[in-house]
Amino acid sequence: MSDAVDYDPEMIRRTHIDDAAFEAHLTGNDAGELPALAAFAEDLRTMTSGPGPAPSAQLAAMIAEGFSTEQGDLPATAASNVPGPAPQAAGLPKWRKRKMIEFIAGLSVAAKAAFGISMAAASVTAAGAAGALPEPAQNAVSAAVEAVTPFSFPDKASDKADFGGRVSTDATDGGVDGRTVAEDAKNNGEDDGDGDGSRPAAPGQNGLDQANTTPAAGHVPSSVPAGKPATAGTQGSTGTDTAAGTPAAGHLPEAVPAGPPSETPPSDAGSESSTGTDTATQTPAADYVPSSIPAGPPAGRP
Amino acid sequence: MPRESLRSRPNLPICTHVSEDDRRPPGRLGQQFDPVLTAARSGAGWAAGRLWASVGAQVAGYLRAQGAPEPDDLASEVFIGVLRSLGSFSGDEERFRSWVFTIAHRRLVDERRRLARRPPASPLDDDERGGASPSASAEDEALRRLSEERVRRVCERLVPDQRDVLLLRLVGGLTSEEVAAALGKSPGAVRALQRRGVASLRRIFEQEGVPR
Repeated sequence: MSDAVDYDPEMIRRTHIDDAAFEAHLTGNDAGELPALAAFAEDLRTMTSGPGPAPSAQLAAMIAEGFSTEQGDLPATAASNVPGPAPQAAGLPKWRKRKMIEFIAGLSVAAKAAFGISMAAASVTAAGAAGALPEPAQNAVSAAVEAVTPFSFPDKASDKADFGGRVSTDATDGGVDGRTVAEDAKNNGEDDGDGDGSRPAAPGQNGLDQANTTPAAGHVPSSVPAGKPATAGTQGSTGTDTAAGTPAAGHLPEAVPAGPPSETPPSDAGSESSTGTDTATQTPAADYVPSSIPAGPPAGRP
Repeated sequence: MPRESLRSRPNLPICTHVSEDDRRPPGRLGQQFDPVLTAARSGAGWAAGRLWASVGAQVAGYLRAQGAPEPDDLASEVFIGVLRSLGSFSGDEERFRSWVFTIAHRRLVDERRRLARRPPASPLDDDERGGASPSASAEDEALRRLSEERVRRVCERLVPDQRDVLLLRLVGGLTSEEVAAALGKSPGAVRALQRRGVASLRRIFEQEGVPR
């Protein structure tokens, strides 16, 4: 293919090779110092000259239609064309799958049917216990399981229905904690969104809006006069001071009598120099307090 | 002096003098590079076409000289990866070329590993490669094929590391430091490979550089 004219051996032999000469060749400042390299480079240049190769179909499409650079090495794919997640690669080991298949294959027809029914029932029961079934199916499964087992499934609807009864029972038993009741009511009303009025008012909804959704909507006035915003009072102000700023200021008494002292007297811890005997003589049992108490062993002794 | 006349004269090296313009890799965008790169980063197809035109032929030539089985298709794959990763690139045209050739070399290494596990079905002959450009004249195409054949023969006799260094430097225009980064070697090792590669070229040409 090549002939003698391509590379002159005499020129090549006179070549001394060093980095500077190579760099000089690359920058175009050598004068034939590296003819072998120059010839090789010239062939490379000829080989890579001219127009580039035709782009592949994918590259041609990117050039014609544009592309996305935001996904790094991932291909630009429209969201609607993104394939779903790949099937889970992990699963039972092959030897376990094989043993399972062998076990099932070894069963009789009746045993296979019973095995299948058992697996299906277990699946439905597990789904019911998790509350993952639709409402009618959930109710059916709950009823069936509760009929044949001692277990009971939580039922969101009946749980809400019992809420009022539970509050009533608590109130008659000894009182209710208002905060707890409020939290429970909020939790009951938050999740359904069924428009039954159990939800808390949406942001921006005032009391009138909420009242108009009740059965007494026909009696709700069209507007309510704005009241004076409540103030917390300053640190030094009394209740009388705060009341004087209300519309009922004309009905305030001149002075408010002091209330009874607290039933529990403040504990007297005793002064630094007082002894336990001094403090005891101030109590109703003062008559029984001995005049002196023998000193105990000094502190720090074992 | 035209290249053809140099080749037709006996006992004369073909590269007595090459101007700086001739040495500069073809297809450089120069001052247009920055706006083209900015447009390409935003996904403009025309800008992708300009970038491909500026380096596509060199990348395909590099892959062909390295003996890649389907260099043009591989060059397209390299450039698709380049376009999709443009957001992570910053720099001038020189750095862009260096970056592209680094990607091309790594893609070539991946392709060689893949082929080592699964050899190609059948090699393509020259006509099937589709290397001839529709716009190239028959004379240019003949010269290109002659050069390609010589380069292939020489490269087959070079040690792979020396071949990588010489081709990245001569075709890609990478500096020693850039070649070192692309190959995962130290700059000193690259310079040593470069010296030995040029010495190998000299020996190859002495032994059979005058083949008839």
